[in-house]
Amino acid sequence: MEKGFLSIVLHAHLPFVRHPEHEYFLEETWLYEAISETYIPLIHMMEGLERDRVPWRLTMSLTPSLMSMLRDPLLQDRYIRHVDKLIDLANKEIERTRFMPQFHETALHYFWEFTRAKDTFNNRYHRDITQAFRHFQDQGRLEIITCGATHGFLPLISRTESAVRGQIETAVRLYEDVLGRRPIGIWLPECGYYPGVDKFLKEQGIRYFLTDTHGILHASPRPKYGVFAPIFCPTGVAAFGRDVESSKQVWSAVEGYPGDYDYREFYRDVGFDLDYDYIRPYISPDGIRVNTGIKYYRITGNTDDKEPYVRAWAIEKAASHAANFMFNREKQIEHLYGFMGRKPLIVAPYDAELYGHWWYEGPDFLNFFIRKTAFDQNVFRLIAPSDYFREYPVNQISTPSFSSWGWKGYSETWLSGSNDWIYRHIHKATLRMSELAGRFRGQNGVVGRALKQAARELYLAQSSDWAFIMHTGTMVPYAIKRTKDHLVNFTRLYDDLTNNRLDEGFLRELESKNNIFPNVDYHMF
Amino acid sequence: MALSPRKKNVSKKGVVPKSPASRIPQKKNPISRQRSIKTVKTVKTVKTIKKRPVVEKKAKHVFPTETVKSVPPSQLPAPIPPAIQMELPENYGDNQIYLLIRDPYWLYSYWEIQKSHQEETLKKLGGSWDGVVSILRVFDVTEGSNHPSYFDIVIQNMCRSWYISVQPNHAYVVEIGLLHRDGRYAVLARSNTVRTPRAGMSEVIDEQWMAVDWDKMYALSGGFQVGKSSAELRELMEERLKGAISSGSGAGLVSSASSPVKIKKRGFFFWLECELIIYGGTEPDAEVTMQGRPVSLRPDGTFTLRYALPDGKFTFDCRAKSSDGVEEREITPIIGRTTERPAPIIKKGAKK
Repeated sequence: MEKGFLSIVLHAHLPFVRHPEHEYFLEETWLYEAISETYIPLIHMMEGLERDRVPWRLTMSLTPSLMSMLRDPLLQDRYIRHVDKLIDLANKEIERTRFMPQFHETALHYFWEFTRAKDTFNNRYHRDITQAFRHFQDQGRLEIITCGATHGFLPLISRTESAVRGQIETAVRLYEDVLGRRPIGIWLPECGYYPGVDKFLKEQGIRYFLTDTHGILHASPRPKYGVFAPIFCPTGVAAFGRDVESSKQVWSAVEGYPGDYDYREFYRDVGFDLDYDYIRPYISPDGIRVNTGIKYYRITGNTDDKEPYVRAWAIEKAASHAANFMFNREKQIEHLYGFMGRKPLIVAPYDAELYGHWWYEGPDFLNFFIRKTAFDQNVFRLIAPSDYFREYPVNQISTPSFSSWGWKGYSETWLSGSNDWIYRHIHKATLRMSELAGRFRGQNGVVGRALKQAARELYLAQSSDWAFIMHTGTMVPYAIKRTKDHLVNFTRLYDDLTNNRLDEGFLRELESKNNIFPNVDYHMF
Repeated sequence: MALSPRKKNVSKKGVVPKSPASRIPQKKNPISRQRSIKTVKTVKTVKTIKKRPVVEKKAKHVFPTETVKSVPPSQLPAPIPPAIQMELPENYGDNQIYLLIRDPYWLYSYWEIQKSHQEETLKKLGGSWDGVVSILRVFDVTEGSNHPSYFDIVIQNMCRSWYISVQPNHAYVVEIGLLHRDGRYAVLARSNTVRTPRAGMSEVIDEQWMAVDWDKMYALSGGFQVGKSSAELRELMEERLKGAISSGSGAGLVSSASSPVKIKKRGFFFWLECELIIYGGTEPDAEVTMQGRPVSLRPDGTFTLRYALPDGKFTFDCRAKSSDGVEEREITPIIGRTTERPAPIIKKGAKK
């Protein structure tokens, strides 16, 4: 019998970036890169586990904004265009590196990976990879949880109850549309929790959410088992806390696995390294060099003189890191089991895009880890958070503490000198949306459409990503523009609605551009 | 995003107005006027921090809101039809103040007060600005204390938001108001109530769920690392992203969409790679091979091959076969590369 459990939770999220008005848009490549490097490699991993009949259990959040983009025909077409270019480039690279064996192997690897990604995307899942994840959920292997509709940081947008309810309820409806059932759990955007938010989760039948470590540790009354058992909020919704030790091994820049010298170096890309005329068709159409995804070097060390990437060494390293991670979990769980007198649950949440995009070998690491855990040990078992209640239905009642998984653990990332100006406008739009919803109940036709679009613009403005980008200091103009555009669009719709002078052309333009949540319900406000 | 210097807009007079009420709502552009008062000449970054004179030591500097958005009226193409209005309203016509929680020790408040409301309120204090200041009155309304205490922060009249230093696990409500020198006070608006997060373990213990050793459980859970480890990867990403800025190109949130080309510690660097281009032509329907591998021809029968060329000697065995299979030709260039790397010459006495 096992002595404890481990839940690995991957948070898959990208902000809604879709620009039909531009033929090429740099920020859209976030999605394309994540599809090729993270989502499809994870799907391949899951398919392999299914094929080899490995027992496994994994939890993933697919945010509504990400699911919306993955199902959008325009972005699907553009992904095909993107991956076709990469296949073309990889093909040329195979030829170009014929006399450089140290790069040639890697060029072949890329050609194979991109070709396979396209096949999976286009032929096997007919361009909608959300259905791959749905398949694994239906098989009982993957637990898919939801998130805020547009990843709004709830502690800062909760000017009205309906702002929070809207984020949750809209997310649940989209989840149901795409995955054919209602979500059992939620990843609160940025793990942002404030006492009382659980009420809105309960309304939607969500049974649990994830918080950062101190959300549980500073809960009141004191949680007897620390982060190693969930607590029930007074509403009955459960909170699971992040384990620091297991996170650190993967996340940490210094001690973490992803920094190993044999792993692929992120910052040496042929988009920058190769002759301009040669690479020109594969970079930004305006001629600015960008990353292509073809990278030939390994991290090597703290040096600028990078050595060529050797795929076999990197895979070998991923296997040994997986073994090390498993060993450490065994020791941790044995120790906790002795100390607690009850089976501990380790919750290890990560950004999904860490696996594959930032840490190229991340999906291989995960694959090795899941397989080793299934066959090479019996100290712990992989479970999804919801499985825990079958073993321990009775848990302590306690109110988690206000917290987030951002820098310093609270709201500062999204509320600092760089981005605090947005809240007065977001809040005002929230109040106005409630006013509109109250005044125009049950409207159809163009007024109804304008109300729906106003709700979409508000949701998009609420996305925590814009404040995050403003805080990090890169791509700031884009984040500011997105925030302003959505708020300005909202304000105009509000003014037009209240003055009874709707401009249908303007409305149609917004509907075609910011087309998230086609069935959005403005009555939630 | 306009981040251009705003020198044009700086008033050289630098007069601090006695009567804030006369200034707030009239202006289309309070922010730029605010700058003149503060004598800040240029806006370099969004993060410009300005210390404000404060009476209460608890008061912290405040970040001017929306500095990035204000454009001096002189630069606005007037008049702007609403259809292409791309700026957010400066003023919504409300009288309100609102509180947000930043962390256990800091709150953020923003407000909006109309001129008319301010003047009406001022009447309660005699109608004159002499001896009257605008303040934030921060009430500690934590339950269990019989006498809610408060402290005041004197604010500049143009300022529209403030960070307030507070205690963990306390409840607060804030009023913006006018305070007369003689102690009389008139409120302009009152905020929502917020409760700051606890900064440590709860003092409340449920006897049904007693732990053997609270501190050990806390330590095992990583409690002493809270806030440090929370976002290590995010920090790493931020570092990486910031690295990208300095190279002048942007980088993506998740993507490396553009990232630094080469980060060199010294100012000067030099690198060189060699590639070989082989090109030729034949009948468009001929079969061409290079080292036995088929080469694709353009419609006019020409072709181009490109190879990274390391040091060494290479034989390129290239053949073309006519489509009727009758004729075959072979051309075999033999290419050698050797690279010399003399030691760098560093001139003495040259400027560093």
